[in-house]
Amino acid sequence: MILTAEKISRSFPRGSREFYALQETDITLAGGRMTVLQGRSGSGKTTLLNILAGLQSPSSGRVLAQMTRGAEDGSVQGEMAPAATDLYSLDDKELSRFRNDHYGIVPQGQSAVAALSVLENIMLPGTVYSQDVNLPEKAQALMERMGIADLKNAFPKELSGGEMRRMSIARAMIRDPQVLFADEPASDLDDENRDTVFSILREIADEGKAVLVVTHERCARNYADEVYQMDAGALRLA
Amino acid sequence: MKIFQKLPLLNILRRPVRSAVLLFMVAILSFTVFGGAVMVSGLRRGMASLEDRLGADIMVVPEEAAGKDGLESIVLQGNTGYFYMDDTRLEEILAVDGVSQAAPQIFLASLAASCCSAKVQLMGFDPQSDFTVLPWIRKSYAENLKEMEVVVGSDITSEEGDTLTFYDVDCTVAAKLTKTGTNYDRCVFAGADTIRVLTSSSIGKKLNQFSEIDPNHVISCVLVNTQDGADMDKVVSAINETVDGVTAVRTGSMVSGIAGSLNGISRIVRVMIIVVFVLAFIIMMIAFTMLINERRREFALLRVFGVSQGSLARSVWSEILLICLTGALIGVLAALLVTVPFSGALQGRMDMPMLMPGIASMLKYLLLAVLIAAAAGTLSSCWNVNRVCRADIGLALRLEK
Ligand SMILES: Nc1ncnc2c1ncn2[C@@H]1O[C@H](COP(=O)(O)OP(=O)(O)OP(=O)(O)O)[C@@H](O)[C@H]1O
Ligand SMILES: [Mg+2]
Repeated sequence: MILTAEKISRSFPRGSREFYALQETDITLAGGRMTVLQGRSGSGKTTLLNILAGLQSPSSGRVLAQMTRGAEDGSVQGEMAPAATDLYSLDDKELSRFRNDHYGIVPQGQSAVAALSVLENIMLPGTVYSQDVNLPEKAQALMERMGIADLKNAFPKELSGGEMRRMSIARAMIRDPQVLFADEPASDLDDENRDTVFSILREIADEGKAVLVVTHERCARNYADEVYQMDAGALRLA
Repeated sequence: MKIFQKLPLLNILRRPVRSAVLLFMVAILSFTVFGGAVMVSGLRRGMASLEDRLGADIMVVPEEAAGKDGLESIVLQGNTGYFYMDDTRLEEILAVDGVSQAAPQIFLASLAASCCSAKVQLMGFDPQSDFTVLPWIRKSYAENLKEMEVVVGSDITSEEGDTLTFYDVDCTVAAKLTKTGTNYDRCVFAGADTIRVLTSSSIGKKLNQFSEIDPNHVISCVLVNTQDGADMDKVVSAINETVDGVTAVRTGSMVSGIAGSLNGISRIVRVMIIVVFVLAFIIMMIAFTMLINERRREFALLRVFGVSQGSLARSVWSEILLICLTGALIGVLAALLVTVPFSGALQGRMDMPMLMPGIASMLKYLLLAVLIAAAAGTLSSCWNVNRVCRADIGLALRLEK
């Protein structure tokens, strides 16, 4: 999938003036590529990610999702499908379904459903619409990949920060999405855990997914195809 | 079942303390609605059944037995007692203008002593003229009562075929009567002739308060039906004027005291239901608001995973309704456990007849209690559910990261 944002911006009323959390921006995410987005706190990184991820509508501009044929087998240069989907022209039902079908999202901060075990948390997105075939096997494989297989029956409140992050990534991958969004997936992790998370994200990109990572960590650059810098709502290539 | 569909149930099961508190509140609401409805209906039925047992327009008793210490103390308070007047009064009453039917009854009370099986109220009726006791007996016993045969009220522990002894005279229990919820359930009935034998024996043993009477020529009260179109009040005054030493009262006036307190109780119960509903509504509104607010971020997460506003709303509603329905059933069950076994005690305490409603009415009240609990649950949280389901996902994700 190729995801293109055209002239998107987002403003909020602050006092009597409009405050631009995101100034007019173009950005493209493509399968097989890992894009890293850095910037100071409050610079608008999450705002941009949310708009691309279909979670928050932009004040202007549009987000187009272009399906590519052959994306399933990991080939990047798939033939263009005829029409692109304008995300924010979909109604809530369609957009929700779109997120579930094509996106894997690791939100910023704690993101566990408290009443569900690790295994259930990971399987959850696969049960919202018709249940995926082999869901338990898929979840098992993902947990092993993330090194949390021993924790399958643990509940979120028993997990460490790093284990929680890895659970979130596994959950984001359960529907085999074409785009993976990760907002601060390595914050408050030790160096070793941080490196594990970034190399997993790199692997996922290498499998043909488009990956967008928002992070403060400088070392993320070592894994990225592109690095963007966000400054007070303005985006530039670093 | 799929995890997302199971989420409402899991949220309840895996937060036992929170769920228990919510269930308890809903249960209190349905307990009050169901218990209140059953109690009022039981009292109404009890009163209707008392009216049936007193199924006469007018009651005539000896002057000294009128009022609280006499007949009403036996019929309404469930005390035992007896009083007599000469049986010639019956003829005089029948002669009064407007009287169409007059049936005598003769009372006796047994003693808690070695001569008697138990201390109970005995009531004798005249099979030829009776029109209140016999129709009731007919429901349980089709044959005519023979000499020394008795039928017992439903609260008397003897069974058909048992022998009961009164003043050292053996009687056979021919049948047990259906429940009326009134003090008649604790009486023993027999033909007038049988009662006269027992009365003679009680006089012979010097155990009767009235040693001078001739048991074969006394009666205790006369039940009177008036002719169609006759003015009952006029008939009452005519009896009081023309027949010596008796007091006639309209049975309605005996029942009306009960009807008055029944209306009072109904009103109290209705107010109680409204107060509990309002309180439960407010508490549920606070509780469900807390339940929803505390999980705003979690709901936003579900939206992130692709749950639409509609299915998120369905999921939250399922959880709330599951709590309301389960809580309501617990409340109803608790109310049943309290009202059914203790209806007798309640009746005794309140001096009010009480007859539990039948299965059909019980089901109706059950439905009512469940509906009211569900309505309280949905009404108290619909605004909040709507709000969180439509909330901006990006904004909700910023909460307590
Ligand atoms: N819904 C909102 N209403 C008002 N202001 C908002 C809203 N969402 C974001 N902002 C503001 O927009 C700016 C950018 O926020 P954003 O969360 O995108 O920053 P960020 O780069 O992700 O920061 P961090 O690194 O701390 O996560 C901030 O100043 C924030 O206060
Ligand atoms: Mg952020």
